[in-house]
Amino acid sequence: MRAAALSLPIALLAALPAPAADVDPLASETVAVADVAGPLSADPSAPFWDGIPALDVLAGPQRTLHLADAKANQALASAAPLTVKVRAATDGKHLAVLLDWPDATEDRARDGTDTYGDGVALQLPQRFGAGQRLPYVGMGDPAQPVVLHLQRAGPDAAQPILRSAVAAGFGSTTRADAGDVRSGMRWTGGRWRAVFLRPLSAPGVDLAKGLVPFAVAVWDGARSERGGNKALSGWKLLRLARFPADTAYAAELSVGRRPEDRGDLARGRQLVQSMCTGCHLLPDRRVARPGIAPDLSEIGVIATPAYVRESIVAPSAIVVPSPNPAQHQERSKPVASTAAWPRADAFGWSRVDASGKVVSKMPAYASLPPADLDAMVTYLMTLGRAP
Amino acid sequence: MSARQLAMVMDLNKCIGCQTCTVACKTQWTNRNGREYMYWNNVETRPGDGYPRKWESLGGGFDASGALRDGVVPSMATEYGTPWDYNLDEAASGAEIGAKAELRVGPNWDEDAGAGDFPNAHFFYLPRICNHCSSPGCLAACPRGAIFKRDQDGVVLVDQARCEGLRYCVAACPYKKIYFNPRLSRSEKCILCFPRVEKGLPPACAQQCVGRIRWVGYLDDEESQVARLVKTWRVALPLHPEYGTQPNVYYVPPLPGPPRFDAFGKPIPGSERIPVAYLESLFGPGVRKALATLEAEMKKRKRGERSELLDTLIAYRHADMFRIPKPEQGGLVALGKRGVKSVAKAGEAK
Repeated sequence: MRAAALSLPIALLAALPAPAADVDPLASETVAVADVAGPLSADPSAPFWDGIPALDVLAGPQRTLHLADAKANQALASAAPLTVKVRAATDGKHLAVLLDWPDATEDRARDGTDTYGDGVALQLPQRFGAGQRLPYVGMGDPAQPVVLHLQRAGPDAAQPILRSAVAAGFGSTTRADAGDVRSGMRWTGGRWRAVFLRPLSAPGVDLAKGLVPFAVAVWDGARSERGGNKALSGWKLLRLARFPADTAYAAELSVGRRPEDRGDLARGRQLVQSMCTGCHLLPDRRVARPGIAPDLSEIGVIATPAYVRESIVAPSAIVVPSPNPAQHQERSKPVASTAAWPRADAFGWSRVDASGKVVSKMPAYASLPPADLDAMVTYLMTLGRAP
Repeated sequence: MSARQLAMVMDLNKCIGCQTCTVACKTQWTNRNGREYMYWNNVETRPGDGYPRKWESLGGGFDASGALRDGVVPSMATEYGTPWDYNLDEAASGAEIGAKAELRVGPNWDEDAGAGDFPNAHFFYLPRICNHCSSPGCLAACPRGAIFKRDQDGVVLVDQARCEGLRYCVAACPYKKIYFNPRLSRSEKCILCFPRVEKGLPPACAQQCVGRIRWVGYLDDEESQVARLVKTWRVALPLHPEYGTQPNVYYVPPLPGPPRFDAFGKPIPGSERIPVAYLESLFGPGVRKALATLEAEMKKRKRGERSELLDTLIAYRHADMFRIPKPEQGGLVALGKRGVKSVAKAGEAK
């Protein structure tokens, strides 16, 4: 991949005439990683962050998986996307990412049974670059695993609880050694600032590339958020100017974001409302039985246009794991008094086809007219975003 | 659901509320490392709030359509009760002995309070452990698949290597019998003393019970007294079967007791001290039939006839009450049932 990449320095790209910069479809998705002399620190108040520009990244509440906590779900009902300011810096050996988001209260995991600490995570694909599709944003997928760095506010303000993990689909997160990762988080005046500091090259993933995808998640302990109950972003990009720009990769990631990909919003809305709402929930149309398919209320925040498009035309390209199948019992079948009801498979999102392959239950809409498909993707990408 | 299910029967007519089971469990499993507040086995007074306080109002289990219901994670300060120490050092130098904390709630806060006014006051004891449900709410709620049910005996366990302490299981268990360990940030629960069971021994709570109220055996083992009580005599009933998790601890309901007294202190013929409707709210619609069976067998006995049911409930010998094969008996091979292979292996491993 590296060999195929053009060695056009990013600084030169930035110096190109205005029209070229104007049409960069990834501009709104990209954090320019600042080159600093180092050494980098995990202190979220370190002065070198001053003056480094931030990218505003939306993180939307996770509604695809239903979790069984009544209090958390009460809070989730009124949850809305929030903006995480992302800054990043590198000294050539390490990468520091500063995440800065609003949270009215400082919540720490304490010595009780029902307190939850505020937290934040950084998700990175294990493999990326031209020719590699992005992992499923919700903890990756079996073909494209992810590396995760997580920190949570514990009892000790100076020492957040830090973990690294790998995952290949939700529910699969497994703690793993990701090298010498350090972290720090500090709450002041209604905002958290948290830093992840890691070697560019470490077990699991090598970030010494021109364009590095990442996603973030934040947890609000006051809303009983933990695990899958969180706000997550879609895939965004770090642009590291000191490494060769992967223009082929940039071109791939731009698909769906170029002016020519934009469809008719009203037409898209009409198509989605007529075709998708039998199974999926939309913000203003909630007729489907909850749980039989992912809730699309914030899909525009969480997904990329390319993923939304693929989900429509080839839903089995990435088969998202089903929720815990024990959540639903099949009550229509009689059982002995001492036995359990069988599990209801209507709530699984995938099935095994005749050839033994796990496929999505969603039918493939492969023959939609291209204009209709563009329109649907355009509409779906507005969901969860302020109009 | 597992290939086989180890089950327990508790006869509430015989429970004296001595908490020996509670202490047997606590000293064995929960007196350390963040488990101090947990009572995997507790004995609560009924009618009463129970432990954790008002657990029946905290949700979880399955609704009538078979869908997992949301629940609430109990708070240590207001529902479980925070463990406390006594000021023994100060007391040694003459201070008045007392707790080092303000006591607000505890695992047996309303012991013997019961319901009704003199002379019609009433209560009974309800010992509770994990029900090792056939369709566990905790297992259904875990987004990480960290909870599993052993095929050989149906024991429900938390894989401590997979658990991340998210506590959705705590919310979803309608019996609130899975606990969060704040020190280790993991969920923990009654393990039905599986290391003892694998050696052919009953769980500590059953072994130590001075009232001999607990029977342990496999539900599909027709020779076991558990199966006789549950399936043949049908006098042992699950607690809150409407929660839909198919619990595997069964209770012989308490007899409604002596009649109530009227305002002049005269017994009201045919009245019930413990309202049967209350018992039905706990143990489901099988209560009246179970009580009728018990009363009919008691009458038989009074006439001098034999009663297999009463002989069983008298609990003459531990050996008859606990039917758990020892490894040297070939594990479950001795019973000639399914699940032979996995259990024989578990026996060898020990």
